[in-house]
Amino acid sequence: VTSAGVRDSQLMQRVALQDREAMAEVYDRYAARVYGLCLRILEEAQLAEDMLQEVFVRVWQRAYQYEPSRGSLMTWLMGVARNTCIDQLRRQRVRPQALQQPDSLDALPFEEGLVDPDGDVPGQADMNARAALVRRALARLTPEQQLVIHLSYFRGLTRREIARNLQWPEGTVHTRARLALQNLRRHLDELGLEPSELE
Amino acid sequence: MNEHVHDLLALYALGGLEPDDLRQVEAHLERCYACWRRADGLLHLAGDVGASTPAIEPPVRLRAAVLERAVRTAAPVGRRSRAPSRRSPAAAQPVAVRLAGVHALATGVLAILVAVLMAWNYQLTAEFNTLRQQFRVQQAAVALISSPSTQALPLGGLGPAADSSGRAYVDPDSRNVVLIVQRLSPLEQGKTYQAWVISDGQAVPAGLFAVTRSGWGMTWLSAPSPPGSVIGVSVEPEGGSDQPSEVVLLSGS
Repeated sequence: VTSAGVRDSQLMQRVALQDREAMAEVYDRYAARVYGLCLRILEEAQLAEDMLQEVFVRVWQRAYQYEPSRGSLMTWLMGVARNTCIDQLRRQRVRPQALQQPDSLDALPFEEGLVDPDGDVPGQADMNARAALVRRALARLTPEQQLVIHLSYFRGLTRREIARNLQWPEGTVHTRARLALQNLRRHLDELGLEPSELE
Repeated sequence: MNEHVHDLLALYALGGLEPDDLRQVEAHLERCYACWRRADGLLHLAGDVGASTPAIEPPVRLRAAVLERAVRTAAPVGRRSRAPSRRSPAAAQPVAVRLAGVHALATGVLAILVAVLMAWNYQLTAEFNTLRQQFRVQQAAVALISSPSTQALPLGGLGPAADSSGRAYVDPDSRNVVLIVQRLSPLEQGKTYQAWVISDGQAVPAGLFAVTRSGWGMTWLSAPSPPGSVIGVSVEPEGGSDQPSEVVLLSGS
């Protein structure tokens, strides 16, 4: 566990004990990341702000559920944020209807904001550097693999919805999802990024 | 491993399963530790995808609102301020002073008690999570061992560990393995037991484990065992090795 991991673990322990200063510190450290993800998924500032609030309410209420041994606080927060936003998206059914089959896989919405292989890494150096490397690894995936990640993770579409929208066989959807994560891991290894998981 | 479930793990991690598939995958993960580990790894990878999104500073005005709302939703009982006493000023002053003192003392004791209980609760939750994970591992191992289709490979002790023995339980579909050993000597500090899957003359590291004082140990191998492979156990320096050095147990021996 890194020293940042130890700090985060202690911080979350304090949050679980209802320490407001610790909560403020978690917010200051991670709000920009959470808000970035909320905006990316919801594409609407007001909704993203609402969901940012919702995410931090959950952090306050469920801090005791965070298990440092299972991964970084960033990963946990991203999971909470993603699920909160996708629940909202599915409730409102805003995005699925807006989805259009792309004319060409060369012009994916996925690449608009996420894939920025040469993006600068100022400020919170570690997190930004890691994020930039992950973006670079994502950019190396095939357009089909990027698309399946985009639609499932960032748009909350299910396998059958993706198959229906893109007119891919269902088996193709999960094969491309599997290859996408498999290749992502390989590219991360090649870029020298320590995997943040158990395997 | 259920092939269908294996195919769905990536979409499970990306949050792209329909409720029926989700239920099927989660039911499988409850009883298959190898798949659970795989899914856990993929979930972390999906977390990296989320964290790769560029950070965007939220409007400054949100900070106070977010923190206020979060904290307001679940304020612990012990920290709620209590309304001041509205006793009549006509009440005897010494009694009021005494009551105020008792009240302050009681509030302080209560606050300390609440803090202690919450710390205790946090610790118990952490222990519970650890035990739950251990239980999950054991439960999955029991399910594999008791399955009629599971293959059991005996392991025999070698050299100084000649009295030791073991058994590798192999799932015929996934080739995942639960290894149980007995009468292996507990190791001195700085050393560890390491499991291996040996196939076509190549030894693949399959995880580190320790044994109890009575020499009993159980572990899920981190590498599948292809048909015809051999399972081995060696003694290695802490942290494990790339190749086995002192082999003490081997299947087929």
